[in-house]
Amino acid sequence: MVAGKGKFVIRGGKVVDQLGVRQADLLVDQGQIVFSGTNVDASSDFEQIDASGCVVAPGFVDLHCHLREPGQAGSETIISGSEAGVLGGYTALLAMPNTNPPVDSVEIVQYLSSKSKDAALDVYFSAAITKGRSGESLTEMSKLHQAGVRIFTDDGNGVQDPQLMRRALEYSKGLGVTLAQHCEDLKLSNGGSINEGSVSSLLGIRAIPNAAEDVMVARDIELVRMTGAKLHFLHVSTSRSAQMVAQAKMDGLAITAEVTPHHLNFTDARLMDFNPIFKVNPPLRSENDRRGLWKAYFEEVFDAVATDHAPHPKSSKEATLDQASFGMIGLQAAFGAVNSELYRQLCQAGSENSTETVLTDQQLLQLIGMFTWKPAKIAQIDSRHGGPLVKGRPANITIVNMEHKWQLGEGDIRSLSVNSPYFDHQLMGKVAFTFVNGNLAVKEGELCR
Amino acid sequence: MSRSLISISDLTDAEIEKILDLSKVFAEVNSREIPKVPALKGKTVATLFFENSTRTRLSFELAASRLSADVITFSVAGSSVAKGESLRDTAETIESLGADLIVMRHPSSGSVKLVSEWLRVPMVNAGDGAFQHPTQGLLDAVTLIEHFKSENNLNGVRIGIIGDVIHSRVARSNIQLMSRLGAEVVLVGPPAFLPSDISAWPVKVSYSLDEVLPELDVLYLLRIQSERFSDAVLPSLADFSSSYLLSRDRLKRARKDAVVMHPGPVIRGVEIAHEIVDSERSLIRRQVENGVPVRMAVLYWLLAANEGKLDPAW
Repeated sequence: MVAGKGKFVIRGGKVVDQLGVRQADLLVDQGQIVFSGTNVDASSDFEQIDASGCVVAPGFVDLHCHLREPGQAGSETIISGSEAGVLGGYTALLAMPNTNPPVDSVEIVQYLSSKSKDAALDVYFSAAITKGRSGESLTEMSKLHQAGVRIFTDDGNGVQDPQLMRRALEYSKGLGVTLAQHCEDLKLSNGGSINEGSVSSLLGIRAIPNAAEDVMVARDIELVRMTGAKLHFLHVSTSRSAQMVAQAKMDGLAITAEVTPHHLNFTDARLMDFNPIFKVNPPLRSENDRRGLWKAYFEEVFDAVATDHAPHPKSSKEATLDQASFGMIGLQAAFGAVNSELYRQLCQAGSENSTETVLTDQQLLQLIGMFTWKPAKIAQIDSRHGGPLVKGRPANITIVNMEHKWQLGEGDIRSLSVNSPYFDHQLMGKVAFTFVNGNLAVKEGELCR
Repeated sequence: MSRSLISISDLTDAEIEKILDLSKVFAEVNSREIPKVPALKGKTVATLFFENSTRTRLSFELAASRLSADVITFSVAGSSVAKGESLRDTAETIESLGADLIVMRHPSSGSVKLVSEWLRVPMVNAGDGAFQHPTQGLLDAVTLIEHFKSENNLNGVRIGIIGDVIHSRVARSNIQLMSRLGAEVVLVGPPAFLPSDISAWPVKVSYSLDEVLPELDVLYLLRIQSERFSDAVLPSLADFSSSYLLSRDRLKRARKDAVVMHPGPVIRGVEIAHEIVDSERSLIRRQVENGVPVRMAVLYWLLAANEGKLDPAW
């Protein structure tokens, strides 16, 4: 998105970026941060933004969303997804290539890039690892890299063939790009709809065992060990996979991993009444797995929170559990969903902080880092996104009222689809302002377009 | 949305007792020379079957007509569903036609509950995927209560539910109902035929039919539902039968008074030896016969009892 012309002074906020936590004011002019510090001196032509009591963070970066173009523009478009994104505090989205046709050629990347010029934020495109996402032959990764692609993934499918995955990792290493794997052994998931466990047993639903994910995580860790390539694990859902990622990182492998707000918030118990809104892939797992994901969160196993924002029309969710589409939307609720559940986890853990409603600096840095500079680095967009919020950087800034309790209503949804699991859910932490390249995209929680 | 029967867990103990009592009343009606009462005269019962069925659909339709209800039948073949109509549109159309109650069978677990949330009329689940088949559970309970001549309970009765438990809605209804009525339920089958996590279920589990056979009062064999799995769950049906077929030899090692049940349709020679199906040890015919009064009881309970006419006056 082109740089804004506006002048803003952001006063009184707590700046949280990779340099640390500090009270600071920011001046924004011509799309850039032109001053960061205390005792700011702003002339009257700077619009005043009151950030007192708020966290001023780099704009959020989502490594994992489905913007449905080309092919399913009735569910979402780049534009509608970008508007939902800025409301959720995002300034950069990485759109997944499982479109129709899939993003597997330079032509499609160029077409989508031109379509995203009017988006409310910066949209980047991941491309498929295999042609047609069919798992049979590699896309022209070198040309796609030259066209700007930095992440390759067959998301929605994992690359089933281990030899092809080895070749993809080797080729990607030469280009310096990152592969991202949706870990699911399709033979083991066997057409299942929900997690295999006590709920699927009771409901009589064909189910996806943890092992469907875990065996591919284990396989790919060994392929990374062999090739020395970079690999990002999408939407880790099991306790065991999180443990394996932790070990692989300790071994020094170039592995990163993301976790979704919904896997941190929900378990398969939500499916006891067959509600298809909670059908997602990988499936919501057991409480034991959810505990394992939070344990991994606190041990900094995850590099990013990613939404896996997956818009679907009502008709594909108004169906039996086995027939309904996988996926839920998440851009607008993501930060509030993670932040509010983080508070609950801290209270349950009875930490020293439990009686207070304010995160420690350490906790804030961890949380904000997973929404900003860590995913920006994985996507190799850290020259523009993810901070730090210092003089000379692009003004991609998100201001969050951390204690603001709110609920997401269907009428608030800016996506073209409303398959959100967060209606009637108490959320805490609301995005008040989003600046995209110096443009005020969200003001006091409302879209500015 | 009104009261429906989707799962055994929808019923309180008192409601189970009421349905069991009502089915005795309707069993008497069925034994009359003219087995018909005007209990649901003017009501319309629709059967909406998305999956093949012979005995269940006929049993419901017979039950409805013996209560003097009008019956409309919807089956998928040749219908608008075959032309791509959505489940919701189909169900709403049936309701708009004036059905007062819909009996539905569907291959997807949870489908009847889903449809019941869209409609105002009561629904009876006639089997949804591998979730529930509550009227089968009720008719099996009636059959066993009749056999043991007990007072609406199955206290101390040891029931082995044998075979393809994981794909069986009959098993899920029966496990809940039989254990609530006081029976001890043992699930018997190879591990791949048992659901993955049943640690909270009120059952014991055995992989060996031969081991538990001498302890069982009831041998409830399930049909192997090959249509619900695609991968190599079993090496072969013959290999399964070598361990789990209720053969004449195995039956000799069972208790002398043990009885045999099956929800049908029976695949003779895979689950039960041909001649046992028709032997005096078999309650399979009684199960089918009891289907009609039990379904009369359920239809009457949902339609008339909702209007405060719980005690039949004929």
